[in-house]
Order: sequence, then C-alpha cells, then structure tokens
Amino acid sequence: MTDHSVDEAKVRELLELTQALPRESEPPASAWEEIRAQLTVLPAHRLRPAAAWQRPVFLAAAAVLLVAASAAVTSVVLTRDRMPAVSTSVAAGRSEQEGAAVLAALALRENQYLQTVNGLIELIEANESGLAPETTRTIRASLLVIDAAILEVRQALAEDPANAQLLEILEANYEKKVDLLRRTTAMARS
Amino acid sequence: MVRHFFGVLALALAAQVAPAQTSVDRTIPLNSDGAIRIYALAGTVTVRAWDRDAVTIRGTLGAGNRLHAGGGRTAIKAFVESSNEEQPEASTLEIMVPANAKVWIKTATAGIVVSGVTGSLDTYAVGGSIRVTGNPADVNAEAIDGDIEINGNPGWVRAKSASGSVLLRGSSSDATLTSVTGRVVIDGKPGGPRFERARFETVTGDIRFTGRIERGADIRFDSHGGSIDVALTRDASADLDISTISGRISNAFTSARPVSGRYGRGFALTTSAGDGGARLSVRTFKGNITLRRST
Amino acid sequence: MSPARQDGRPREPLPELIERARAGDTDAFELLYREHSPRVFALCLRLTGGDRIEATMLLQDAFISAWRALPGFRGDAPFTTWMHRLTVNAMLQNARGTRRREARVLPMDDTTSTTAASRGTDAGLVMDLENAIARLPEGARTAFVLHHIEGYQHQEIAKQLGIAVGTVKAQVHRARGLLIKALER
Repeated sequence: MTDHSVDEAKVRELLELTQALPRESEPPASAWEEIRAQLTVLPAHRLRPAAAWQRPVFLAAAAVLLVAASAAVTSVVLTRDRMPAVSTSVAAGRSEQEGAAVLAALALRENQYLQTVNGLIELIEANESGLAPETTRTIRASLLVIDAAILEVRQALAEDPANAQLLEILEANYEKKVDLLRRTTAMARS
Repeated sequence: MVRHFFGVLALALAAQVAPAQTSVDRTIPLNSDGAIRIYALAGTVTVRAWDRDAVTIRGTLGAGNRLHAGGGRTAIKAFVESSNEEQPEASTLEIMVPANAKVWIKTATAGIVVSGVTGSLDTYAVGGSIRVTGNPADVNAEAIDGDIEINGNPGWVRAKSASGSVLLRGSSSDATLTSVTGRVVIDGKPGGPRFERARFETVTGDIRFTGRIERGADIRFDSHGGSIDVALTRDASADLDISTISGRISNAFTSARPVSGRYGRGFALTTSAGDGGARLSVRTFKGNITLRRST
Repeated sequence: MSPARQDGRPREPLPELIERARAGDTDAFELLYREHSPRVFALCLRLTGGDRIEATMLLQDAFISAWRALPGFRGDAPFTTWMHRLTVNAMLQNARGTRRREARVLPMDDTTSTTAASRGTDAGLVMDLENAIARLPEGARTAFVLHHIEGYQHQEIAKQLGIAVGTVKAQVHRARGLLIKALER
C-alpha cells in the first residue's frame, strides 16, 4: 500500500466517522426566553444582534408560578423593598390565596428589578462606543450566566413557592445582575 | 565599501520600519497626601510608591499616543491620549507616587500593577488585569474580564470582576470579593488582620477561603453553582449557618452532620465552634460546600 | 430529522408557520425555533469550538436575525439552509473587528443526550472526533464543519466567508490532516 492510498483510506475513515456525528444538540432552556425578550420588549430598530443586551421577561413566568402555587404556602409577611418572607404555618382553605399573594408580590418585586435593569441597559447602549467588542461579549456572557441562574431558581420556586430560601437566592442573583450592569454603566461612561 | 553601504542601508530601513514610539520622563510635585488620576488605554501602567513629594512618569508611549500630565500639588492628572481609540497602540508607563497618595487608575485593556501604596487606591481595568501588592488603606479594584490579584493586607477592599478571578493573598478587616464566573480565592496569611466583615460571592465560580476571623465577625459566602471550600483555624469561634438547595455539604470542622433543609429541600448545617460569636453563613443553590480546619 | 412534537399535535405546515411569523406572530416563530434550534445549535457549538456560552449567544443572534429577515425569505432555499446561512453570517459579524479569544474547549457532555445518528459507531470515537474538531484552528474548523458536516460546497463556503475557493479547499484539507493526526494519538 502506498502512502497516498493510506492517506486516502484514513480520510475515508474520518469522513465515515464524521457522518456519525450528531446533527442536533438541545440548546439551553433559557435561550428562547432571551430571544423572546428581544422580539417583544425592544422596538424593531434597536434589535442589533451585536449589542443584544438580554433582558429576560419574567412576568410571563410569574404567571406560571401563580398557576403552580403550592397548597402548603401560607401566611405571608411583605416587607417593604424585600422579597416576601413566608412563614411555614399551614392554614387550610387560605393556602392557595396566600400562595398567589406571595407570587404576586414576587412578580411586583421582579418588575422593579426589571425596570432597574432596563434603565441601566439603556444607559449602556447610549454609551456603548465606550466599550470594546471583547468587553461587550464578556458582559453579555456573564449576563447569560446570571440569567440562567435566575431561571433555575425560578423553576425551583415554581415547584416550591413557599421556600423563603429560594426567594433570598433569587434576590441575590438579581442583585448580582444589577451590580454588574451598574459597574458596566460606569465603565462605559467614564 | 559595499559592506558599509549595506550597513547604512540596513540602518535606514530599520529606522523606517521601527514604530514611532516616544519616551517620556516627567516629574511633577505632589503633596504626600495628594491625589493622582491616571488614564491609559492599552499597554501597562505600573505604579510604585516612594517617599518623595512628587510624581515621576517614565516609560514609552505607543505610536500615535501623547501624554498629557499636569496639575497642582494637591492633585495631578495624567492621561495617555491615543490617535486611534478603537485600536490604541500600547504604552508602557512607570509612575512613582508618594506612598500616602490617593491613587486612581482607569485603563481600557492595559494591565495595572501597583505596589507600596499606603493611601487610597481605586483601579478600573475594563479589559485588563489588576495586581496590587502592599497594604493600602483601602482598595477598590474593578475589572470586567481581567483577573484581580491583591497581595497584602488592605484595610478595606472591594474587588469585583465579571469573568476574571479575584485573589486575595492576605487579609482585611472588611472585604468584598466577587466574580460572576471566575474563582474567588482568599489565602489569609498569618500575621495579618482577621476578617471582621466579609462578603465572598460568585454565580458559577468556585470560592476558596483560608483565613482567620475576628470574634463577632460577620462573614458571608454565596454562590449559585460554584463550590465553596472554607478552611478555618482551630481557634475560630463562630456560629455557622450552612445551606444548599441541591448541592452537598461536607463538614470536617465540627462533628455536626448536615440535615434536610429547612423547607424540606436540600441540606442544611447549623453548628458552632469555640464560644461562638462570629456569624458565618455559607449558601449555594447547587454548589457543594466543604467546611474544614486549615492546616 | 427533528423529533415529532411532544404534545402529539400535528405539525403546522412550514409555509404557514413562516407566514404567521412574518406577520409578527411570536408564537409561530417560537414553533419555528423549537423545530430548528437543535440543528442550528449543533452548528453553533461546532463553529465556536464547543463553547456553550458563545454558542448560545450565536444561536440567539441567528434567530434574532431570522426574525428581522423573515420578510425577505422567499423560500428559494430550504428554511434550514437559510437559517444556517444566517448563523454563519452572525458568526462572521461577531468576529469582525473583534480580537478573537482563544477557543475554549468545553466538555461536550450534552452530545450524548442529543438525537444522535450514531449508526452503531463507537461512541467514544465519535466523542474524540467532536473534541478534535473543537480544537482545530478557527479557519480550518469553520471550513471543515461547513463542508463535511453541513454539506456545503467549496464555492458556497467561499462566497459566504468572503474568501477564495482555493483557501477553503486548503482549510478543509488542513482540517482533515489535523483530525487524522489527533485521532491517531
């Protein structure tokens, strides 16, 4: 066998193996939420893929939580400017309403975060020339990571809306997102 | 003759193709507690402290760059202007400052290196890394994708990166170190101050802590998906509150064992060491948590 | 072939879905996304060297581009082909004027959960090939993925990437050589 035919044989083998590669791969669950947010939240003329600051719209997901409210959720203490705290005492007959109240308060709080986030993103977009494309991509990737974390906690909350710990974790993740956006705003402007 | 001609030709060609860099060497008086602001886009900015009441700026400016520097004895500004801000040429600056000065540095991709400063230090590197050595009274270090490394015992420290790692080799009485995806590592050295108030946070980066905590301290570790490893000294007196929604907890610091989480989900561990007093809280959503004694 | 819809409802014909999406119906666009995103994401993963975060961003850019460009989709090419072109364009747009970061090779542990056409081939060898592709230099990787995995001709690749046909052929040849060497180790 000559070297040339050995090479050809190896190429054939490689290409056969290539045919066995999977042609599909499931994207992360959060990917569609980000796309949807771009389609519905931003005006068409601002849809610039290279500057796609992601803003997941969680209000739709909050509606899902309302539907999925656990019967074990009960007395709710709403503290100003904080996620609703939940005590664990069970009260028959009131649980669904109170579960819905927790989730409605959660939706309100998330709406506040979204407004803060959206405001910061507008500032960043106004000053985007102050950031290198590399930096923009890093920030975008970091926001994706935080959003994926937020989504995981929300999915856990959908199964367990009484869990005050999850609410705290969710708030902490939102705070991280806001902090990153605030720092980015400051960097882009100065 | 021919050899000499080619020699001259080679020199001429070298001069034509050499980048048009400029050397700088300027000295400006500054009070020992004066303030200096430094802006640079690309390259490196190295700041060192000395005991003179003056600032000296030395180095090499990249082609198309100009240095503007000036001010009075209380405040100086040094700014590297680039003719091409989209793709600036790198400049290498070495700046000597009074040790107790208030130093403020912002760069785009330039790395920042600071040593010996004992006053206040603010550093912002949009695309570069930050390295601080010494014991500044306070340090604020912010990067986006660069790493941050602090070697020493700042009195107060805030260090935040998005994708870079944040490393403190030393300790501080008041520290907040965060990264989104990078690691946060605290390697407390003997002899330094004990941590009194501290926040260590990531989203997916791991957190590693070895250090001493003050009685009555308030220390918090928080990660969504990163693992958290906390190593405390034998003499630590603390009340520990550890919880995770779907990670694991392993405890080699006290004899307590993790139990089912407070809301019937995940794991929790509440334990005390010594007389208690300090509050130490460790929380993850899904990262594993390890508690152990430092060697 | 994409998996059948899990809710058991018959699939809406593609031309009707596209018409509805073109008219601004985001639910219809979501159905298009659900149908085509696994195929597009596999391409994104390979073009980004296995970097899931970059691949996710590229996937999002591609579908957002598709939403904007839908009015211009005339059906001359299959929708999948059109989506792939948008994906490659999005990748090129992101790369232009940007310092490329070193490709991060992440474990492709999700490939085992995908709809694999393994044809009885050793799964470990397939994984080795996947990793080797991810480690290829960017130009060679793009050319190899588009030609040997996605089935584009050299001329089509050259046109889309804005390079000479000879360069595409050379990159494909280079990729093959590197992959053969990598798999022999």
